[in-house]
Amino acid sequence: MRYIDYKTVLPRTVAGVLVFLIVILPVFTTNVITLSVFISSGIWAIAAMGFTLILRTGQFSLGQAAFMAIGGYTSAIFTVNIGWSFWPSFLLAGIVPGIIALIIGSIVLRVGGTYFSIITLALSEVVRIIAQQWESVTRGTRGLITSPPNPIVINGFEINFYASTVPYFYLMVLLVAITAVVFWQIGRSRIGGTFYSIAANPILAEHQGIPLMKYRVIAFTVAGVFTGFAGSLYAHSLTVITPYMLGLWQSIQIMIMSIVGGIGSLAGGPIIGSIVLYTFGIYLSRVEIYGIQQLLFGGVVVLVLLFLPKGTGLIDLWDRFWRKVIWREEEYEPDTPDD
Amino acid sequence: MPTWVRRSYKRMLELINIWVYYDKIAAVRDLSLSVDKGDFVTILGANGAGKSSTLNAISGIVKAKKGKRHSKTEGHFKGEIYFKGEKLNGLTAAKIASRGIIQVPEGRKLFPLLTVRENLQVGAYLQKDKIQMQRSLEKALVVFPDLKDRLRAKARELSGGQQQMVAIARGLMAQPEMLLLDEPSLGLSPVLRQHLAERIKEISQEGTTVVLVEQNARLGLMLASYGYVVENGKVALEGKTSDLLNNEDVKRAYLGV
Repeated sequence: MRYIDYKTVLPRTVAGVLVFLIVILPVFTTNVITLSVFISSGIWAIAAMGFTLILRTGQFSLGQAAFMAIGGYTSAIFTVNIGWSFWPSFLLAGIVPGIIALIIGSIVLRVGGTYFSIITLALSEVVRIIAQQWESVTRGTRGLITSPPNPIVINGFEINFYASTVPYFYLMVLLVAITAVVFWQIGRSRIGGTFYSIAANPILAEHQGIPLMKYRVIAFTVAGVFTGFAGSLYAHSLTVITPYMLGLWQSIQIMIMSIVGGIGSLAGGPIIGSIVLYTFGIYLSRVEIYGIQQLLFGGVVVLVLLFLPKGTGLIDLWDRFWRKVIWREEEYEPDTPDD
Repeated sequence: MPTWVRRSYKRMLELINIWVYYDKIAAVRDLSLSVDKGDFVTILGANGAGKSSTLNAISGIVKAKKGKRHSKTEGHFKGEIYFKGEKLNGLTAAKIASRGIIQVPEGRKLFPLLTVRENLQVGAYLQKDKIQMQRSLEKALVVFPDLKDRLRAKARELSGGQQQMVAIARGLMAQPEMLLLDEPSLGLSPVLRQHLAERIKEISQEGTTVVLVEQNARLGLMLASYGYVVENGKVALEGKTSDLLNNEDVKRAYLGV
């Protein structure tokens, strides 16, 4: 018989109930503002998960918002300019950033490290400038007005994206769930171990016959695909996409969400980080002081790095809460290695 | 000559006139050596004689010089390296590892936050299916039975000797044809060193070709069948270890007799 440890089961059950409550949120309220806060948090969560996956291979991407922008513009251009319906454009919004990530990754990841960060940073700006200048396609700074997907009728039950925000909410939940499960499985599988090993010690990994480039490009491309989906959802749920919506600050925001949530886990940490920080950011934006959001985000990062070091982030607080407050366990610190 | 042309080969590994440079300083000067299949070869020498640089050139960490481009920090080498008749120059470290040369780097480098089992699994990267991986894990545990109880421990929680065993076991997980060991006895107590030496001997007897770089000349000469003595980046002396043990110069310089 398998021994069930209530100390691991109980925190998971409580976390599961919380997730369930968020999922059935539209039952309690269909308030547009509440739902859009969660929709946006979910979208940022997907982007933050992508960032964390790239970080798993030891690379620090500062251009994740660029992939959101590429995804968003792809589906916006195909629905508005060419007249496709939402779903094929949405699919394309994952494929195009994926291909671009593959091409850029196979060139840029050769150098890796700081250079990779600088080049992805530049990518962020390049995408913004292209979106701004290519007026015949993107309408420049005025942006593209996107339309929601057409209503779907299943057995007489109509899913209408025009009438309420609930369908968007569930589209977001579905996308976050798929991303989380995929990334979680990547983290558990052998490929996740390989990612970790090339980050921890690239030379040693190469000694064991692991081609570094291949795995870095895989992580970058997978992250690009999912970030593209997130960008498309972002553009359509906000009904507009402009060059300034997804720039350098958004890339940094993705990074902060991932780090604050906890980079130790590929799915849980980024989701918690983005929900907490996005909600926090929404309330901050009511205070009408220019730059207050950026300033306080910086403060949160400093606090997390001071009190939750080693990349454990907020997700570790949950663990600590149970161990210290509920079970009152003794502190256990493993010895530091001698070298 | 293109790399795909197979030379008829007698020697498993051949290094022909190798020079290893770090920026402009040569660490290895015109070194040639060869290793037969199933041999146990040791490379001896003092600090800075160029032993580790030679190993790094074989495993591709130090890269071959291409034209005028070279990295100032990582070093580069000139000369030719043949493994089973195929030229290794210009291949990446990962490609060289997949041909069957696995290096166990100096200073028992492990992934400290992974468990012992996970560390070993990283080593089995080149094995594609799980059954094969399980088999090589069992094989590695036959050589290092001490690790059996510690598979779930984090690598950084192990003692120095155990860490070195994990490092070598990880090398074995790839089922290499040739194992390059860089100073495995570094920082170990005499008892552990002896224990490790027996394990290495076993690995060699199983049929793996072993190249052992050692500062501890006595240990190297006791274990290996053939030895190279490297001085100032050159092979100063070579021969069967039984002859080297009786050589007056070796005795005076390395064995302290």
